[in-house]
Amino acid sequence: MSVAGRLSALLDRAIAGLSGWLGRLAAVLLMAMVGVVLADIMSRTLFKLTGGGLDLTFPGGVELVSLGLLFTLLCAMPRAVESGQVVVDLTTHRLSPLGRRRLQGFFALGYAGLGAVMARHAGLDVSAAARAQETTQDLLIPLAPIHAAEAVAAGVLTLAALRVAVRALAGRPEAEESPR
Amino acid sequence: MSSPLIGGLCLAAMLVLIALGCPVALAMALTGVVGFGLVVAAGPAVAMLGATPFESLAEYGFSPIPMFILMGVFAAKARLSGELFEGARRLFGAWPGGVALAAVASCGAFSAISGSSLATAAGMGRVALPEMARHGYAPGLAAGTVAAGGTLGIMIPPSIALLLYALITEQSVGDMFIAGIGPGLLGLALYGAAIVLMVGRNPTLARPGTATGWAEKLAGLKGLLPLVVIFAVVLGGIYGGLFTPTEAAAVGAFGTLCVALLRGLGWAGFKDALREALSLSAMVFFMIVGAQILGRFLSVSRISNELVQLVAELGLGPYAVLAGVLLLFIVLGCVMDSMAMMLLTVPVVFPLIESAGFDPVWFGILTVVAVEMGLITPPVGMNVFVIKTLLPQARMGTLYLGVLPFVLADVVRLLVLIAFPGVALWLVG
Amino acid sequence: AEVTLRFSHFWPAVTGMHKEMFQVWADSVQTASQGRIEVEIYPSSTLAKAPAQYDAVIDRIADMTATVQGYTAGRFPLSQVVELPGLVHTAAQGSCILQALYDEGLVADEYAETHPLFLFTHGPGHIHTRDTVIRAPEDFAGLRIRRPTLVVASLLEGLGAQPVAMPAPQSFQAMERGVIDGVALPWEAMESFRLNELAGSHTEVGGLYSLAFMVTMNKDVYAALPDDLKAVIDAHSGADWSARAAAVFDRRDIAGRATAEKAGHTIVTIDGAANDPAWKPVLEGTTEGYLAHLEADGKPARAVHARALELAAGRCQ
Ligand code: NA
Ligand code: NA
Repeated sequence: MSVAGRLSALLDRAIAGLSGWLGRLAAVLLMAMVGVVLADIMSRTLFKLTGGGLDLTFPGGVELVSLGLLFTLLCAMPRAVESGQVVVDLTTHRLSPLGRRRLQGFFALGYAGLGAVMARHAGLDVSAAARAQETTQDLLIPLAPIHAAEAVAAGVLTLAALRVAVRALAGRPEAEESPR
Repeated sequence: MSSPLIGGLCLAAMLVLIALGCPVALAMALTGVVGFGLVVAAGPAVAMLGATPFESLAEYGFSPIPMFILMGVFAAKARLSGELFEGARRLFGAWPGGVALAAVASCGAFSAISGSSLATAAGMGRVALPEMARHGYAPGLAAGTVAAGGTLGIMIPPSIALLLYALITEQSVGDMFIAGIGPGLLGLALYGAAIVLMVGRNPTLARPGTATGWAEKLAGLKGLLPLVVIFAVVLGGIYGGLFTPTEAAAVGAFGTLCVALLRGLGWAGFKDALREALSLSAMVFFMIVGAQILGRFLSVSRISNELVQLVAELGLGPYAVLAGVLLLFIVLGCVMDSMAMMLLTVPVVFPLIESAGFDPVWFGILTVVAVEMGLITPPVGMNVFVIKTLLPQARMGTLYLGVLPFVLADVVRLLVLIAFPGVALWLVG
Repeated sequence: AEVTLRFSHFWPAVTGMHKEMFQVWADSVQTASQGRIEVEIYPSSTLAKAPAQYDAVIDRIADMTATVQGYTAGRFPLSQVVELPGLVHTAAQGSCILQALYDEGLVADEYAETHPLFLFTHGPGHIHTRDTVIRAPEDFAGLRIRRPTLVVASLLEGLGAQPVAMPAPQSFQAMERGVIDGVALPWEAMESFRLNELAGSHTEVGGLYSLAFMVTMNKDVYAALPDDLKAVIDAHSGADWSARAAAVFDRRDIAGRATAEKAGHTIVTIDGAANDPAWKPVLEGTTEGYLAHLEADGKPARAVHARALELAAGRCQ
């Protein structure tokens, strides 16, 4: 295999690995979201049952769920670029499988563009938030690192979409590690 | 060029993109950013494209969606579908078309813990289709039964479609869910009637099942117990003001997980379930993001205002407007995905319906019936596609022919709901 | 029209603020420019969610907005001094103070990214709950109360409640679904956001807090206007329009309270809270904590607060 070939194979694996790890993180975040909500309900119930005697309630439940939702989905999206799309098979069934695959690759470029614009937007927000020392509203978590994490996730989305595009345009089959 | 004209042209271009095989979510996002750029300017359009996804994904109101999806996936992993079907099969025993009736009934029951139609059709199809084949049911009837029964997943609460409608139009989620119960049961009854009529006219469609005694029938119902408890907690919690929809979804997901664990769900199955739920959630949220980007463009194009004005100038009566809107839904439903269609059309037509003076909750129910029809009408019926993956040897033509009677049942349901809004609204406060 | 201004805000189109304030402003601009400026209003956050409205104007997703300074935590800390307990008793007076602070250059730096037209505040904010009647600070224990900004959050925390950040437009659904047990809002908003339909008890603590608002425009959009149209916008800026916004708030406050009275709700009024031993330490602690925090960041919060008190006792009575 040529150097370029080996390099591209390495890149291909690296991006797949990144998407995979973000996917695992998404699973953890989703369960964490369920956990936070349950803890919120239980602490509230205990508080009411004991007439305020046992106060395990914590602030920021709503905010944690919002952040949890945001990052669960941002982390789940890179893996879903390829397999998680609703496509209306109205005219394309007449194409050859290879033709259809190429078309899929072409549209994946669109997702790469979307991911890049999102990453750039979040990146610009990082410096603005750092300058104004902006924080979240309830838990006062600094916004700069949150925007940085958004930028990273959107960056991985871009790479994952590019990878799908390259593989599909080259006519290679769907990647195995994609969920189904 | 005027903004509403740009709006109309861009929407037409979007439909072409979708027909050319562009993922629906991407088509909405692309149309949104290009249209916004044409109406406003390129720089703001790119800023809007960058900002909107983060705004939509962090929206607290959407947070029940992945958890309701998780709940349905756990329910499937708990093999509740098999038990439900077996119970229903005993209940109907030797009735004509009894196995199909059992399939529809268990689809309805499964809908009570599943928020999505595809998950309901897939979950019940895996169980009911082999059974109907074993009992000599015609493939068309079997496929139609499960495809149509599966659509109840988004009418009987919990429902992602009803939740999205509530969020888009600022209605109460509790009201929307409660309003879905009557029309869901009506759907069950009409689908059942369709089966009985078909089998009555042509008994070769289905071989009679084995007769069952009362004791056996009752024993079959015990499979319903975990499901009834979860359903009651989720729906009662939301409607009684105990839980927010987010909390109800978390409680439901956790409860279903417990049931699944008790029935031997292992670590590998748990990981599988999470992976499946995330994949489905990402699919739904790609479309939500696309729809919100498109929505920003539709706002600046003022196409909704124009539409309301146009209808006012035409002097159409409220029922003419309603008929037009529902017809549009049904036609679009033939070629579009259900969720995408809702996200796309409801923001545009809702002002129209409001100005015609209709009840927004009731209209939401009509919308979901139309969306349900779209799931089984050719050429793009997502539920029929699901069945096709379970019956690879069947021809699409056979499947769509089998679905036809159920589409007619849905038309009847739509007419009943228009004539008697109380079917949907009787429980709504 | 020669210029179209997309004016975005988060109030629903049926509210007094939309109809009696922003629509009036838009019509007036249109008339004064002889139709050369057209103002398209986008109510109900259709162009950007409430907390994102200010950024939307910077990015020109909207050309202008009416929004709340405190929805972006950390950007307008000095302007928000006007939100502190004890300062604002009517919208007219609060708006006069805030606009004066801006005109005198004490808070103007915070708005460098946009072209502000006028600033104002709503009337006094009160506590509205679903069922729990609040008569004393201990009644707050364990209640989740929606609060507009950080200033009000520390106030509620001091009173023993659990503050939940939330823009006003989301409050109806949150309260209806039980995410929150109550809200901190002026009477006007109880009507605008239909919260009088949900709340059963209201507690008026004199001068509890207020909220800072702005109407502001994208800088490039303003700069690109020809001079005569700039003059039209300038004539629709400043203290005069700030006072008009305040007048709508004050009028709507009366209407909102009347609705609650007519519906037979419980209304508790605590007179002289600033000297009431149950309330005084919390109110004063909030002010002191806020000012000390800003001073520690090197911001002249005490000077701004002192000037605000002066204005409140002087020409902004
Ligand atoms: Na359901
Ligand atoms: Na269809």
